[in-house]
Amino acid sequence: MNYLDVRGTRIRFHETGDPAAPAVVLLHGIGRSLEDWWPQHELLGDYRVISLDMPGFGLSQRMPAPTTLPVLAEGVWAALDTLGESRPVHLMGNSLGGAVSMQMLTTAPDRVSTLTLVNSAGFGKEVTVALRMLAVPVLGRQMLRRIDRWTAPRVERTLFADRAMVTRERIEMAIRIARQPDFAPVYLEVARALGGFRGVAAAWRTDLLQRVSAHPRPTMLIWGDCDLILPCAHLAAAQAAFPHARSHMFARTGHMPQIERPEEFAELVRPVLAEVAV
Amino acid sequence: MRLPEYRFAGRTAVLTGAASGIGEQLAYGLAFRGSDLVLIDVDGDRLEAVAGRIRTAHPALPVRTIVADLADRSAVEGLADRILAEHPAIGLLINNAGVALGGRFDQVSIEQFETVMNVNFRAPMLMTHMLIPALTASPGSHLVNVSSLFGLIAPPGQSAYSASKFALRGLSESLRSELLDNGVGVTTVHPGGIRTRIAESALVGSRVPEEEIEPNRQLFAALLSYPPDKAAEQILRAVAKRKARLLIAASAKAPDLLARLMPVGHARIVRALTVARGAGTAVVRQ
Repeated sequence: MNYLDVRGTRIRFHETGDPAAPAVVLLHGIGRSLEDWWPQHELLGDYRVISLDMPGFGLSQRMPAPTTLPVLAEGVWAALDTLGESRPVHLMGNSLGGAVSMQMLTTAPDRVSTLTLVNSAGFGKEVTVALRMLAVPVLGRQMLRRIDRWTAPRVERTLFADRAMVTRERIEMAIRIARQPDFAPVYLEVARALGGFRGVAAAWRTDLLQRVSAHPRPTMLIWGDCDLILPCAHLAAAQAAFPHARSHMFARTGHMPQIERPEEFAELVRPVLAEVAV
Repeated sequence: MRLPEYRFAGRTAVLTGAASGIGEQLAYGLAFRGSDLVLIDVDGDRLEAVAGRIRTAHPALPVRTIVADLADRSAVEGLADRILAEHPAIGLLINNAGVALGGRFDQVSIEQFETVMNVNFRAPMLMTHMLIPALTASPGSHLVNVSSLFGLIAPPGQSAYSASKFALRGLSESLRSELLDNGVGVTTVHPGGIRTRIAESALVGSRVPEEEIEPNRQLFAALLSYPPDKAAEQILRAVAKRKARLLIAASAKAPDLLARLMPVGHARIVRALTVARGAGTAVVRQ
């Protein structure tokens, strides 16, 4: 696995495909890693496909500043600078990664050619009670400290509609990520910055969606109808925020359609990517 | 016995009257929720336009259109056969198509009366009867019958329409209990004045005087004020929740309450209202 030095922070990334082709940048959710996008590297192989562990997540180090949406967005842009990718990119974000993608669009609209939001955060206050409990002092830290052989499979099971997706590799990766020194602090910083026990806060969502509306891009909105983390009813709010967007609701699919329905996912996003001439 | 919430994504929805009004909005709402679509209407051009909009917005969704005249018994049977052959298991059947007819009973011909009964009652009855094997093929399917405010009350000038919508309501409410044994939910919908094309496409009794037609049509259209997209959203929410009965808009809820409080006496109030407005004739409603 490859690492970048981004302003002194060690960032893990994975890059495949044709370096000359337009870049597709894949962003994972809270507490996750680039493994959540793994099959798309091959399926979108005719692009320059870049996935990375966002600062403080996966096996990447954290940024010095407290982790917020703007800090994550800035971190990803800086990582792309380090990779020498200065052309407009196709952004795809899952869950928290969707919110980061939208944030990236607002901070550098010229660098974004299309937007694909997959079970994205930002479209409603409802979120799994497990994430809401993180906001409770002490309890949150205790929960994150206890990601082990017993709890990790349970967490993984909430992410997929099909239990066969909960493989030993995924469980081991989740435990490995949870043992990173920056894992718990960054997780809690983000969870508390974006919401509380009552759910995802409204202020940043409405503000972000309003700023995003100034930069329309070809957009694809995707959800899995069995998402237990962010309910699929949020797709309606997403469509309202992106009236020009195309959308697709995957059946019998959980929080990560990009790995639970990889082939269909790739087929779905290809026309959106093709919409922007190189 | 309670049925679990209806899940739209990945299941096939069959929808009649999909080219305009509530049906068009239902089609958009179903596509948005990820249902594979079989859209049926008699107006092929409008139906293709609706399907085209859905294909653009949801490129990965299978959308099938079938043009059929539901007044024609053999056309309905052929339609159901085709659907059965192509979709051995369907999740949702929405009998939405309907036609209105204006005029007092003595002003409408028997043929016109029968057309209304055929489209509004016989077609849903046939479709449901023929598609029950497909509905029961997978557990948790759902049936929607769009009756009307005039399936709750029967004002003057609405003999055929009310007869057809009362009949559909009776069928639907009886099926509610029968199909529960098969794990199929049934929702009967009674929309009030929804802003649809039903006034424009309404039949007019063949013996309604010429000078009464246009004023009545305009009066009718003016009563249709509730937005169809909101009506469709309510219907889809009722399906998800497996509601037995859905009244849409105050123009359905108030008369329903009146009819229940005054099972006989409400007719006088309805008559006073409609006669004062429409001289007793020709106002037709969804």
